[in-house]
Amino acid sequence: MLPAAGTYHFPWEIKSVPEGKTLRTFGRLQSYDMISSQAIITAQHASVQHCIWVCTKFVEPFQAHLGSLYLVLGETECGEGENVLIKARIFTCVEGMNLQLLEKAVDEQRKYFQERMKNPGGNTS
Amino acid sequence: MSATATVSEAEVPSVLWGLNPIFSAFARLYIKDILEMTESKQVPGIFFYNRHPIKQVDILGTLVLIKERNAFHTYGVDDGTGVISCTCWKNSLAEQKSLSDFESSSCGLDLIEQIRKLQMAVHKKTNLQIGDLVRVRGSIRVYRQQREIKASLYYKVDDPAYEVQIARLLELPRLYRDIYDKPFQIPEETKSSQGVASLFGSVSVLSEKIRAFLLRNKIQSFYKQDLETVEEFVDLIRQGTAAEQTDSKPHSFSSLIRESFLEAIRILENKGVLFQKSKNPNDMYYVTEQDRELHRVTLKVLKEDCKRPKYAEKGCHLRHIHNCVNQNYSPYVTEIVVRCLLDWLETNSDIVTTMEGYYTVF
Repeated sequence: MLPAAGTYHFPWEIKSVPEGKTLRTFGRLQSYDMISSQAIITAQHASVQHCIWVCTKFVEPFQAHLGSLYLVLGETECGEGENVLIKARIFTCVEGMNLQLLEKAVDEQRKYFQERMKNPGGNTS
Repeated sequence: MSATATVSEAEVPSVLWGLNPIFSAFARLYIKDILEMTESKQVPGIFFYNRHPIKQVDILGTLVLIKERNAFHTYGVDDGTGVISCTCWKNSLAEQKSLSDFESSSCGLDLIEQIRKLQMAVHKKTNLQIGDLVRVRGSIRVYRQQREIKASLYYKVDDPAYEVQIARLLELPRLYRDIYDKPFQIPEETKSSQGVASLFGSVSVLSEKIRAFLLRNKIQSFYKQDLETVEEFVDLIRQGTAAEQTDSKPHSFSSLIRESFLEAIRILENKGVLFQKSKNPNDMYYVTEQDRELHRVTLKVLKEDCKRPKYAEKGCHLRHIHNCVNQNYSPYVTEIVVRCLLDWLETNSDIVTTMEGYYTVF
């Protein structure tokens, strides 16, 4: 009944994600094709531009601000060729978001869970 | 920590939960942890995260599912670690039709205006759409084997620049490291009284266990030291002390076992379940509900006396039976023991109560 949890993934990690995984990621809206319900969001990381195709069928209609930051939550699907497609359930404009801080926060959360995995019950005694 | 780690350990006795401040707070947990925590065996609806009792939680996440019922909404909230459904009752104030009908009234205009503003604010904050950021506070309950949050408070959080969510992402690992993942130390000053409390709690459990054990194995009599060899009871006491988390020195543990048994036996004696034929605690204990000799004597007394015209109609009074047992069996049998015995015999349909305190036999 409930969908799977949308875990945070950085745009540059999407390629290695298996199909059907629920995730949330972010990027700048580069283009939006209303007819085919496809948007492309991009993110820069280590001087490489990462593009993610987003299927927006479920979130239409929405106001597309090209160049703005967007957050997407949805399931991955195999796109054409190398590209990954995310079938968006949530597509929100988060223009003004502090990207560096979000990266840091996601890293903090991951670090915490990794620590916990390493010594389960370590703090219980 | 994780669910598996907590299962193996003994639960903190419920008497002590209130000492832990987390118990009365809204715990800010990851939804994943809310779904995985172990439920208390003592009180359903209370959960344990890392031995901290959790009564109510505070979550912040994205709304991913809405189901509307007549009186409430079920919202699926996703915080990136898990998804949980929240039952949120509709707010009657926000559901009401607008107050515009009253607007024409001449007096108290200001008050109505204020209420209308409040109504609008409530409506704005509780009218949720998929994708909204929502904060839910409430207790956890299990419904159809699924955990969900019964919201006592829920509202939409405006977060256009994602600041609130980033703050939460940064805050939680810190909270976990500093508070939730640290074991709770019971304050020093309450330790002594707490020892008594947990001792008392476990002793009453122990006495019940002993009683069940005696019945199950049809034990008629035993010595105190015999009980101390039963693994089941020693384990129980050990668990009790583990929960206390005192540094248990070996000699204090053995004396604790002895004390616990003495106390448990005393409780059972006070209930009339056990009795002795002397005053020495090291002598043999007899089990009221199992001692055949006592049963035989009592039934014989009842059978003979109920034939006498004096008792034929009403049966014998408890005190009379008590007197006869003292004369024919042992002077150390107390009234409470006789009461317990008569209850037991009545349960087995050996005797019948005619009226309060009077017994007869057919």
